[in-house]
Amino acid sequence: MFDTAPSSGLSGLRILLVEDNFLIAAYLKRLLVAWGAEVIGPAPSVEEGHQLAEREALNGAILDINIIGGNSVAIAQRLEARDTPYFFITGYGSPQGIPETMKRRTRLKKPIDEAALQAVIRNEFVRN
Amino acid sequence: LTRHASGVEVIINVMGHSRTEHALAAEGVTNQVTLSDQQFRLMADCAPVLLWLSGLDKGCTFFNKGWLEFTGRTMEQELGTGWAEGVHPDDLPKCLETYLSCFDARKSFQMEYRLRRHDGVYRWIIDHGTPVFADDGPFQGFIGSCVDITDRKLAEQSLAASQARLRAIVETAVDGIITIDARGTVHTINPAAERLFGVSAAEIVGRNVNVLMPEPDRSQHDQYIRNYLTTGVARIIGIGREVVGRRSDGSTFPMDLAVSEMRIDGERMFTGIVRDITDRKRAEQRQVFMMQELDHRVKNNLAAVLSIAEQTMSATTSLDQFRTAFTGRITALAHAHSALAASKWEGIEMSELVHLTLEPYERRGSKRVHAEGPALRIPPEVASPLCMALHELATNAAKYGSLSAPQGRVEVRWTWLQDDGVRLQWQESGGPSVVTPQHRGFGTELIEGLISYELGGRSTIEYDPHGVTCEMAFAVPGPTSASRLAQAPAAAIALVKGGF
Repeated sequence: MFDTAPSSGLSGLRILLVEDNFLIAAYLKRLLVAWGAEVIGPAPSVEEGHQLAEREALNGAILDINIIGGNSVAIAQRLEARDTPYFFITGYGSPQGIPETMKRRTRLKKPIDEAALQAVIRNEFVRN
Repeated sequence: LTRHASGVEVIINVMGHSRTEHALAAEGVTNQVTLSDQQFRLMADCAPVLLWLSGLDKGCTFFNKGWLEFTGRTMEQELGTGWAEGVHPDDLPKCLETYLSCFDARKSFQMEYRLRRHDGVYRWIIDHGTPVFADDGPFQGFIGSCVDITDRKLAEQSLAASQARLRAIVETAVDGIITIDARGTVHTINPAAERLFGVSAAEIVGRNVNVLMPEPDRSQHDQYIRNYLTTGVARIIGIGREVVGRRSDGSTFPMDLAVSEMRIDGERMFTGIVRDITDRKRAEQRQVFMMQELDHRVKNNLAAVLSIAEQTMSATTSLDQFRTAFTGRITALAHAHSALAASKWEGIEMSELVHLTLEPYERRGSKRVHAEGPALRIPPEVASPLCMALHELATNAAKYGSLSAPQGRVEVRWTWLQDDGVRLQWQESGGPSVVTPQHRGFGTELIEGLISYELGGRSTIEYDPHGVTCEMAFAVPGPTSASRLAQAPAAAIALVKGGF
């Protein structure tokens, strides 16, 4: 069912996952692990997500916009400061409450398509 | 002028100002006409008015043909005080009082009263009475002339009534009504508009209507009118649109404005009807917000379904197993959704939540499930994960635990902890002897994940040989923070700007 790690090209990537829905977080985590990535988190809240973004060595981050405690803008800012690539996942058609510059970031809409997720991770997080 | 219709010479003052004429006569001005009694009668009878004369005793001494034909009575009936019989009883006291007091004061009078016509119909007449003085000075009585003013009076009354009606409509209208001229000057403003803009008619009438608008309309309104008057291109007249109004305190509000044009005495005037649409705009915004929120929930739920499918697939070994587990989980999600939708997303009672999860395992008349705890409203973001967690416990109990045995029971109790915390205990009994599973299944993972991850709480499952127990503790936010849906966005209202 899942692509195996060797062909995914994502092996060894440390990816922060911020998503407040347990089912979705667990699902995404399984996908990422199956692709050979190491999942940091998942974190359901602004507080936990920010801590991990601050503390962990990361190759990239996947951020749900609306999470427990508000939105992931502060986490994204922290990642930008660290020059860590990230993209958003959201259930909303048009995101609200995030700065214009962040609206130019890649946004994947839920439900997330596996192939699209893998492609975006490869494009954004894998540095040649 | 004598009041005797009996052959004495009468002097008619053609101007009706006896004293002045008398003075003039004394100075030798001869615009007096001397008439014979017969000439007087002829003239009086030809006059298209009702005439009367009275003498020094205040009694009437003469009525012309016009009067007698009007009342349908004879001279004999009307002479003296006979005429008073024809005056409407309601009007008679005032009529007599006016006549007698003016008579005594030798003062001319004018009064209106109803007089019965020959056909029995009372008609309004206006009666002009004037004192009469003889050529050499002495007072001789009064002469009066009357005209039927019923038609005029009815027209006046109907006009007054129609004006009162129109005024009442405008005064009591819920919508604001303002009239301006082609220069933008306010002519009238009704009470609704006074309230709407926080101004009084006294303040605003005569001023430019643009004080009721914010910029840029305020400085451009005169130009809007000029544009319309020169080009005839209406941008609002006869169309109506949403604009922004400005109250006297400077605050603004969205309003519907409908403008119509009229001509009064050749002048172009405009009527503006305004309605505050703050509430409507808010409702519209809320609806947009609700749609977005619904969209979000649907997508999240679809994502959750995908996730459940994937993970149930990994945790089951046959299609049959998968089907049972998967449909059960999706159904639990759907039940929580239905109950929340029925509550308009305000939350559901804990007892209801427990009931809808365990209902399938209840047997008719049995007391297999016992739920007990204080009234507790569970907000949407807590209800869905809690419902799913209880579902996992229930299916497990039905498969391996107490609900798999006829005498088995489940007790669910919940209590308040401090600081919005809730403790929920699940206790099975009467089932087969419990064996601790060798590895954690997806169900256990789900329960712990949902409670700790989504609700920030904790859960412990124990496989006591007498029955499975599960204890959960989690926070239930208060009713104000209960639902994102209940919170309307504070975003600014976007409005179409415009004017004439």
